[in-house]
Amino acid sequence: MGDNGKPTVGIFGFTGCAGCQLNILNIEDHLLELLELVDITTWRMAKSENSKGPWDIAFVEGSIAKQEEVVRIKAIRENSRILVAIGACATHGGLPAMRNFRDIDEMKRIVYGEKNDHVDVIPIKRVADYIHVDYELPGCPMDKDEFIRTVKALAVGKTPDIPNYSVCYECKIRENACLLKENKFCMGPVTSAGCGAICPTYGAPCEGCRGPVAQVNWGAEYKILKEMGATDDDIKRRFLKYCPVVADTPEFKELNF
Amino acid sequence: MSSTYIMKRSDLLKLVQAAMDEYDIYGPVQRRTTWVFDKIDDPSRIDMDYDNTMMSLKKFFIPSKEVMMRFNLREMSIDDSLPDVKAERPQLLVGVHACDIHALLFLDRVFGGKYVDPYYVARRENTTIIGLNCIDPCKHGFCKSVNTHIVNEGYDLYLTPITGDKYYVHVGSPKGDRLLTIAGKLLREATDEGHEAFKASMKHKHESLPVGLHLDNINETFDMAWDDPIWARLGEECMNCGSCALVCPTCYCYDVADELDLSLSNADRTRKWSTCLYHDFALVAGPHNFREDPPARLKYRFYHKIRGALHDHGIIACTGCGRCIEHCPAGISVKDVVYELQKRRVGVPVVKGG
Repeated sequence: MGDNGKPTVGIFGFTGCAGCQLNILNIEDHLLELLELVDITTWRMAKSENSKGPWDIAFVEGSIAKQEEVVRIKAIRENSRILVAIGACATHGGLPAMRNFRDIDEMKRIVYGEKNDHVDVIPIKRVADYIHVDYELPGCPMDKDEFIRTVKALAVGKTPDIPNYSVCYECKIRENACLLKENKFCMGPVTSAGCGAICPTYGAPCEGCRGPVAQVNWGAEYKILKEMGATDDDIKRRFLKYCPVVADTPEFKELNF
Repeated sequence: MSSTYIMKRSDLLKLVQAAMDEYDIYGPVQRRTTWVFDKIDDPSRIDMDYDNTMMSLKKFFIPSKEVMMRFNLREMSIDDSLPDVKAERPQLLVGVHACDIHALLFLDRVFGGKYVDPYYVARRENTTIIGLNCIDPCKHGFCKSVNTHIVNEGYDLYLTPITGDKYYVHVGSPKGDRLLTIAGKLLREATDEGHEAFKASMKHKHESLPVGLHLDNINETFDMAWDDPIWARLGEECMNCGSCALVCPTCYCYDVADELDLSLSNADRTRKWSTCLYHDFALVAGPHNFREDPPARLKYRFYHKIRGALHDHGIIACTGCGRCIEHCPAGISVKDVVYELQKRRVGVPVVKGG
C-alpha cells in the first residue's frame, strides 16, 4: 500500500508494440476513477517521475526477447506482490515470437548487419516462462474493460474473472452467423472469449489473439479447417500467429504437422 | 362464436403495423446465412418463410445477461433502483414455430414450477405469441420424431398457411382475442372452405415431415449407454465451444456473479448464460471439478437433456428444432447420436433420415 492507503501499481513494457499500455491510457473516461482506486507509482509511458518499487500489483506487457529483459522481469517479480501479464506478447509470445520460427543468426544479420555480436537477442518467450505470473489478460491488444475489472477484483482481494471458454460463446450471443459455415478459417471455437467476438461480428474470422481455450482440442479444429480446404501451412500459421509458444505444448505436438 | 379465422398472408404485415402502438414486436429476419428474431419497426422485414433462427426465443425470457439485484457494499443495503420487469412494454413475438412453443412450455416447467423465477414468469405473462404452423420440413429439424410438430397450447394466435396465400388462424387465449380486436376486418370467420383448406394443409404436413427417430425405451438406452465408446469418439470431435447449448431453446443454465463499480461501493448481481460444456461449469472449491474431462461434459449434456429431463419433468429437453445440428462447428448431430444409440441398444425400428 502507498502512503494514501491505496494499492501501488507499476506498469511495465517489454518487447511488443506498447499497444496494451496505450489501451490503458485509452480508458480515458474512467482513468481518473481508476486513480482513486490505485496509485500508479511507476509507468514510464505516462509519467516522468517513477518509483523503483515495491508494488502491490505489477502489470507487465510484452514478450521477453533479450537477456537484459530476463534480468529486469525477475527484478519486477521480486518487488511485486501480484504480477499480471497483459496482452498476447506477454501471455503467449505474441507476434514478436514468430521470429522463433526463423534462424536467429540469419535474422540478426538481416536486421543488424554483419557486425551484430553486441546485439542481445534470445529466443522469444512469454513472461510466465521466466517467472511466476499470477494472472494473464490475453489479447491483441488486451481488452481495457477486462483490465478495469481485474484492477477492481484485485483491489478487493477477489480472483479476476478471465474467460477460459470459447469465442463462440460471445459470437452466438451476438447472433452472428457462423463464419466456419461460410468457409472462412475462423479460430473462434478454440480461442478464449473476452473480446466480445469483435472480429467475427464484423465478418472477419477470429485470429486467435486471446490464445487457446481451457483444454483446447486442436485436433478437432484442424479437421474442420482441413475439410474446408486449408493446407497444413495455412492451419499452422493460424494456430501460431498470436501464440507461437503454443508450438511447444504437448497438445500441439500431437498434431504432427 | 367461431375461434378460427382466415387472413390473407399479406395482411399479417398490416396486423403487425396496427399492433405496434401496443407492443414491442419481434419477428424472424434474415442475417447472412441464418435468421434472428429481431426487433421489428418495419413489418416488411419479417420473413415468414424462414427456415429457422440461430437463437431461440429463450433470449426474450432469460436474457443472455441480466442484472438481478443492485446493492451497496459499504452500506450493506439493497438498491431498489432496478426497473421492474413487470413494467416492461408488452412484447409480441411473430412467426414462432411449433418446436419453439414446445420449448417455452418446457422452460415453464423449469422456471415456473417448483421454484418460480419472477423475472421469467413476468416476461412470459407480458408476452403474446403468434405461432406459425410449419407445413413443410426445415433443413435440420426432426420435430415429428420427438412429437413437437403439433401444439395444443402455448400460443395466442396460431397461423397455418393454406392455399390462396392465406392463413388459417386459431385463437388460443384472451391475449389472442386482443389481437383479433386489433386486426379488426383483416380477419374473417372461417367457413367450410377454410376448414377444408386447413385439413389439406395438415394432410400435407403429416406427409411431408419425416420421422427418423423413435424415442421408445429411451430411458433404458441411456442407462445402458453410460460407458458407450460413442462418448470418447464424440469427445475427439467436440471442442466444447458451447454453441449447441447456447442455441438450444431449452438449455437454461446460467452463472451468477457480482461486479463492483469503480468506487467499490455499488455492485450488480448479474446472471449470464453458461453451459455444462465449459471447464469451469462444474468447478467448485478445492479446486475440484466434477467433470474435468471434456468428453464427460459432452456426455453430461446429452444425459441431462434426455435422461435428466425425463426424470425431472417427464419430457425430454429436446424439441427437435435442429439448431444444435446446424450450428455445431464440428458437425455433431444430436439426432444421429440418439439414433445410433437407440438402434444399437434397444433396436427400435427407425428409418434413416428425417
